[in-house]
Amino acid sequence: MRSFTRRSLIAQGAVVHFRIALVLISVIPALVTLYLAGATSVSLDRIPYAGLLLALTYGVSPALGYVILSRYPRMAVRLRAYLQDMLHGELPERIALVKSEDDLSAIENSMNLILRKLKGDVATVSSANALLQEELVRVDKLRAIGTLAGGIAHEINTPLQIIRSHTEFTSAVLCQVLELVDQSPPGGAAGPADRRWRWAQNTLIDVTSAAQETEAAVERVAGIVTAMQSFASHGKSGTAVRMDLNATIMQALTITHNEWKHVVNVETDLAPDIPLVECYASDIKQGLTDLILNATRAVAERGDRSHKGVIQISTQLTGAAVTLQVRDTGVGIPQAIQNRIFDPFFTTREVGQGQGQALARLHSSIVNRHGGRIFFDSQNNQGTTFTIVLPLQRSTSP
Amino acid sequence: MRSSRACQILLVDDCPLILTCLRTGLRFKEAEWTLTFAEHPKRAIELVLRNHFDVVISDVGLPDMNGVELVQTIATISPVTACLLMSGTEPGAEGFPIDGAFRVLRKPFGLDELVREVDGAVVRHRRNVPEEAHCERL
Repeated sequence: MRSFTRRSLIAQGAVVHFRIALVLISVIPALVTLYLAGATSVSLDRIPYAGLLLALTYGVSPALGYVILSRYPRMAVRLRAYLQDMLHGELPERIALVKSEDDLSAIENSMNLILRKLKGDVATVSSANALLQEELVRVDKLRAIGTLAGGIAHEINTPLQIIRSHTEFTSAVLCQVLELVDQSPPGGAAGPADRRWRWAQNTLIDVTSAAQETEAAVERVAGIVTAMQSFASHGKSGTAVRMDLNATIMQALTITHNEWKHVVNVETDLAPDIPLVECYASDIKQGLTDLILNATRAVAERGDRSHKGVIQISTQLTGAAVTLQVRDTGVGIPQAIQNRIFDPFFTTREVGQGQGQALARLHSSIVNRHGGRIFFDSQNNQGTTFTIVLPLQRSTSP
Repeated sequence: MRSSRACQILLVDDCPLILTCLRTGLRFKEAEWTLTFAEHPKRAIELVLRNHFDVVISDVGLPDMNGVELVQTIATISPVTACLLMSGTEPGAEGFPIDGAFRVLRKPFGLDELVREVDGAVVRHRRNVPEEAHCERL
């Protein structure tokens, strides 16, 4: 049936039903005529009666049958064909059954209403679908970058180990040598030997501090690589793990450092007594990064280049949950859109500057996957504070 | 008696430069530690079969078998040996199965970190493995 179009269904159904109906309507009066003729022994000379019956049989009945059939069953067949087409996803331009006002035309009108709504829904779904496709491509790309980043981190860590060990060794040895030099000044008055000794001593001091600065720099690179590696591990998004929230916040700040360093000063107030939080780590990492980037943009939008803004991040143990706050001194969220910011695909940015998915994704994860809460408080041109209450143990299953 | 003997340590990494930098960097421990190096896991197993080691520290990404498999094998053939892993990859990443029995040093680690981990592993291992096992092995 699936291969039939609406028109072929109408043609098939109508023709078959018509033929059966016409045969029945024509044959029954003929049989009645013959039966009556036989039973009452009516002779053929009573032509007028016979003529009347024959006229009924072959003229009036089919005509009447045609009139009746052409109105009702054909429309039912048509209706059925429309419905069948719609069920198979082929939406007609509009439903057309009859022109007069009756029950069927009421059905026709209702169906046209349903059809209009359906078409609207289909349009909405297909545009959401297009956005979802884009989002999927983005997620795929992110995953690929994540895999790459993980691999690169591993590659970087090996030479970094060599640099770190050698620098530590060098600076330890230099310290010892410097101590030796300090303890053995050349005897006698100021002369060439004394000048050489002083040169050696000063040079050693410089080299030692150079080695120590290198050590510090290597540690910084190591921190960035570790943060990148930790954020790049996408594969485990489906399982909840026990995560150190404070460490994750510091890592999120490390990997976003380049985005905010000229815009804001970051202040952290992280409670040291927070136990590991059972959570979907990649959701939380992504959410934290998004909150920090949003806060940075909000401050940048104020356009006050002479004063850096502030982002304050705090954690606090509140019973069996952790309360995490991200506060910024940005433009604030306009009153008019405050109730929409957690809606999927809602964005105030230009096309191509983000999908408006970040907050929707975070909201859905916190509420549905973690059984927590997320809310915000925003003052125009004063700033926004996002608060997340994350249970230490997840209370809902995904 | 044990404390007078130098701690026997086997370092396994397929990158010779890592072994070199650890050899140089750990020179300040030469009175207490005797270091042996292996670039291949098969060589490491040979060494463990023929000699006594208090600690084996192995990289995870090795040719032929990964470091986790290597230390699992070593733990079986020489229960007196404490095993540690070192890696530039996150545990659980591809090629790095998680085995909670072994502590992991994340590269790039500091030399002091390595010393702390080795000392800790020796103490923990002595507590867990009965003294007879040590005697048998010696």
